[in-house]
Amino acid sequence: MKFSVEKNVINNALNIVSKAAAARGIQPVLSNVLIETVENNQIKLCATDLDISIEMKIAAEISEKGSITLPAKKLNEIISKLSNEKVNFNIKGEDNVVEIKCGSSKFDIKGIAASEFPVVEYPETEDYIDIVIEPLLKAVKQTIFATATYDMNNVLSGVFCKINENTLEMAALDGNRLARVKEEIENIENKSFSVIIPSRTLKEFMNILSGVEDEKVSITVRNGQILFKLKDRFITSRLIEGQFPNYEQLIPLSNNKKATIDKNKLMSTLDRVSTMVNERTNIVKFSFNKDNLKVTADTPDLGDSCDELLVDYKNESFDIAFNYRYIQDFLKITETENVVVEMDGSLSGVLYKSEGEKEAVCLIMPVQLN
Amino acid sequence: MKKIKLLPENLINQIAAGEVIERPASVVKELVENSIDAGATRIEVEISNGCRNVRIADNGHGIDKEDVSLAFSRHATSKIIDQNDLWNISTLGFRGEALASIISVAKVTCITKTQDSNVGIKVECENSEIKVSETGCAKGTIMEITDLFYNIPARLKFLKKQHTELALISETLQSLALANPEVAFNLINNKNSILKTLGSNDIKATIGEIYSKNIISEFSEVYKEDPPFKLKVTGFISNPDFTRSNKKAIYTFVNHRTVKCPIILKAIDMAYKDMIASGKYPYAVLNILISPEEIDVNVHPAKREVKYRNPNLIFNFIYSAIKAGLDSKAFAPVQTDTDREQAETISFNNEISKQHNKNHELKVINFTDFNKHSHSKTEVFNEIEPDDIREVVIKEPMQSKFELMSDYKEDFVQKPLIIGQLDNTYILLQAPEGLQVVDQHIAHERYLYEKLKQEKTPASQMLLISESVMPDEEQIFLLKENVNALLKYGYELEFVSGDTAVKLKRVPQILAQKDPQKIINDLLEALEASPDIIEDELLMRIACRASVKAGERLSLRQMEELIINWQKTNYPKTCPHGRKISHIISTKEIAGFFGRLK
Repeated sequence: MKFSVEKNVINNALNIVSKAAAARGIQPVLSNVLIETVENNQIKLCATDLDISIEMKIAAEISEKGSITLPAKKLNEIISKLSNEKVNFNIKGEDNVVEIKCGSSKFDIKGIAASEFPVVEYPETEDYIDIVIEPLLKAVKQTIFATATYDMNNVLSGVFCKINENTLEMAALDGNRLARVKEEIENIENKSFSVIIPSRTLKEFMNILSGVEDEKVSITVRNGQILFKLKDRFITSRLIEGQFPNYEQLIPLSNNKKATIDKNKLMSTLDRVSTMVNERTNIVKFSFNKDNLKVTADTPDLGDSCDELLVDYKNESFDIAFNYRYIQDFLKITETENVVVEMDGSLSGVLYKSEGEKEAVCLIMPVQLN
Repeated sequence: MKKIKLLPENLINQIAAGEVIERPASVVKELVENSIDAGATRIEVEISNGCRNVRIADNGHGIDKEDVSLAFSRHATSKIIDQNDLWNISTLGFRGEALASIISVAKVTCITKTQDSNVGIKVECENSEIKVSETGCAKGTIMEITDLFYNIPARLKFLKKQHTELALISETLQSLALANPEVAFNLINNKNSILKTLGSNDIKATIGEIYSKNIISEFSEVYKEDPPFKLKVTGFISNPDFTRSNKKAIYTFVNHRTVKCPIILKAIDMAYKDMIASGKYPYAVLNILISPEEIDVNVHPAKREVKYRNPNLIFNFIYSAIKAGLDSKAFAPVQTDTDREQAETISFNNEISKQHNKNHELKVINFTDFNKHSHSKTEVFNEIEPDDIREVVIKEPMQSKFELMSDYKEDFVQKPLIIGQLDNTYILLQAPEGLQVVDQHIAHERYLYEKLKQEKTPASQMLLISESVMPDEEQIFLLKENVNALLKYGYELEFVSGDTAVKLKRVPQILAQKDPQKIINDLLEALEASPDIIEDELLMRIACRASVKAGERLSLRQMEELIINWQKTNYPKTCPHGRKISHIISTKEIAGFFGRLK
């Protein structure tokens, strides 16, 4: 195998692909990236830890066909430090040593034969849905933060994703909060499915979108696997099996205490107040009075903090406490100027919405103080 | 025909001996106690013939010629005179039974001489018959017991193997030695000395002589006095991480008398609660001095038990004394007198920490200053250069500030020198003594447990939804029974599907992001363990579940925070379940390995 490739191109590709390589595997080859020459003067880079696989094709000048796997971490490090020139790869002899040359630098790096690399099976079929990336990406961002982190096989560690007719619905919940979003999409094939996608897969999906010009992504679901396919790259992963809770019934419809709050002001208020928050509990107290919100936090033995801000609130005075990180998580993904907070009692769930937004909601359960 | 008759005296004595003289160890106990009562400062015990021959020599005041024959008859004693004395016993013996009992079951030769008499007396007893003659000897008493139980074959048969009996004798003598550190003891078995104390009147030294010299660094001193009640307790207890799996190393003395008394044991147990594992017991040598009217020692023939007039007072007194002893250890560095080199390093370190404290004082003043004023002062505070700090001190030397300062000084913990993380499980630290390995999970658990205990009423996170768990019927019952206790600690349960399944409605805030299924299992385990105090057990589970797990990668900052928090805990040695938290590999040991020790 012998080829040359632009440093920036392969550097970018390795950054994306090597995320799928196993950090420490039982099988050494899973920590490697597969490099293989393909037609049209392209090389294919692929990594997998058997849960997720990412594959990407990039342009290269191929002078001799072949394939090899190289340690992902080391390769990434070498390439990122090279000067901005063409990089030449060349397999020397038969002992899987690859010579990497770029400008005046030269590296010999030992690899593992490509035949040992697991065959990545991805569901290649006609049965796919093409959807526009932008609403999908938005929906992912608005839900992924609410997934549970305690058990990677639990349904709650994934994001529920449902496509039918012209809507895409996504939801995630970890027991303490729920994030649900609905987006209009174009669904020409009029296909439908509902699946639970591991949160890590979605994170990597967001990652592979860096630097792509594609407007649409094709999604295929088959045999407990999902495939997101772009022009020159794809990511495939297993899905989480199981019954996702019926979250719709958890969303309260009659929360009638309503406050409208400037998003940026709330964010900086929380940021200030939270310096004195008890780090083990993260509790901040909200006290709503007419057109005023007081936010307080305290840590025994350390001290307390308090801040007030003007809000639009017309109901009776009301106290409630939250884990402030949950509110921060919501504010981070909000793009509107104001947020709307809908409450009922101090022990029942509170709805956080972007102003004007109907379908994207974040339901946060309060904390009971004794 | 007359059926009832008086027994011959010899037989009476043999029957009575059954209570007092059970086995060779009882002989040793009775005779050594006599020696101590006789003011001896050196006592030698020699064992031979499979523990059936015992020779006890002391340098006490001896027995007068006139008293000798009386000494061996029952209920004859020099230790009390009338009934009033029975309530004011300050000697170990008083019943006047020991010698009479012993001579009824063994052949005894007694050689004794008092200070004033010119010649010694030799008394030979066999079958309770006494023969007195004169002999030459030094001041003191030598008791030679031979052929113990020669006339009671049944008892002889019940003697355990030789080394068991020897171990019991050794135990008896250990106990007596610890109770009387001013007396030098020597226990000899077949010409080998197996226990030797020097009688230095230093309980610490005696503990060292009985166990080993190094062990003493594992002990904390106990000292508490309560003059109005004439109560005093002194002694040593082992640190919570230094335990053994039986109670044999717990020695308790009431007015120098060895007692095994449930109240004291319970007090020790309670003081060590949530520091040592169940089934583990500390080492303890506790000397309790109490005015003799407050106790009744005449409840057990071997005087192993004592009755108190006011048991609650005793319990609380001992409990608080031990607690205080353990607390003092938590901060104090270990300083052994023998190791001068080490002492030097410690004082050197003290110098450093003093300097640190000084810097800290300045900072603290600054900080209080900041607190006193409104928040708008923040900028001023930030602008203060280190040089300006001194000015602040001089300008406003307010009394209240100095008080604050001293509080801070005590709490001050030096920033730990973290070397790194081993196996994502252990934090490696540079400690004054060497390399300290800290288990991250257990250390964090100790910190959280103490925090939770302080807080008492934790906040709880309301849950949107939670998986239901289906425990068996008994477990459901157990949960239902404890619903209120659980509520108090932030758990609310919901019983669903006709009470066959259970769901969480809210959990302690600290557990908000944990697996609900595991939380319920923890609860069940806690309840099934049916501990004395269910609340503590719950807190332990919460702390355990909420703390950093083994195998979790920590950043340097996280490790620092964890170590600082842990070092500030009251009992940094063990976790609430009694597991050890840290281990030190001394620099000496490492140096030894590399051949750097000269």
